[in-house]
Amino acid sequence: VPAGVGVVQYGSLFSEYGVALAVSLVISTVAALLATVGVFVHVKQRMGVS
Amino acid sequence: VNSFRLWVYLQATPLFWLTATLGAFLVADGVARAAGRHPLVNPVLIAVALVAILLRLSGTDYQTYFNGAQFVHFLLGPATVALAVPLYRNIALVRRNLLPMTAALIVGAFVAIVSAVGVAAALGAPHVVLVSLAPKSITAGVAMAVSESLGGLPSLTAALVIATGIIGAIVVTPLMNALGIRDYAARGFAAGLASHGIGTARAFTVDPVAGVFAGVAMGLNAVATPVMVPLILPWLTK
Repeated sequence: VPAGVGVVQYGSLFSEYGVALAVSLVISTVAALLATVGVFVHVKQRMGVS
Repeated sequence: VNSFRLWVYLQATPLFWLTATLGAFLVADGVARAAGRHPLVNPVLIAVALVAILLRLSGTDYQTYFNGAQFVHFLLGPATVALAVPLYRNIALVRRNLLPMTAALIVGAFVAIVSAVGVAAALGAPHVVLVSLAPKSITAGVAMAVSESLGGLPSLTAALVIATGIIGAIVVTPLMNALGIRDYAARGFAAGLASHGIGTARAFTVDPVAGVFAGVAMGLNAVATPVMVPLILPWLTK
């Protein structure tokens, strides 16, 4: 929580680049989740791990 | 006048902001519990908003707040180490999945860095923001150190780390359910890798095995991302 509250320091930066950051965070988080789970399941199936 | 003096006195006391942070989290956790732990009702997000509103209303700067609340921040370290307990209890399961974990770690960490920096750069974010953004998928303490060593803004990185964790915790369950992924080891590993401790906390509320693999992913990514970022960043920010 204390680290997250740090956003209050960057009002001007967020007003200028907030959209870029928000779009980047959402796309990147979803992409990382999909890539990670996809590779994990694929390799596991190829290995025949239960 | 007396209540104003009392407020001025309390505000200058480090314990006040520590208490306010714990109080905000208790309220936020109560709201999340009342909502049945729905992923959209994230207790960290609610607590951050409550404290930010309190800072704005009281005219308190972030450094004054952090001086009081830093003990909670310090506990991030011991909390991360405590993840070793469920890992030890499930060590055989983790060993069986060593190769899938290694492959998923390399690909997932790479995708997290390249997609974040690539999209932000395409949308016009400056170099200092891109550097601060690159380590956003790992635990706050390590991410801040990576950001600082490469010329980023550590406290901006901390905010982006928390935002990433909250986004991951919100989207992971609906996304995995929509894809029909029923392997809780894979689901948890993805949650921990993409959204560190907040994703790990979310994974533990869904399934204990998911929580164990999320904790492992979070720990491994705290090693992989600091190695990858200095290698990848120069290519992305040319």
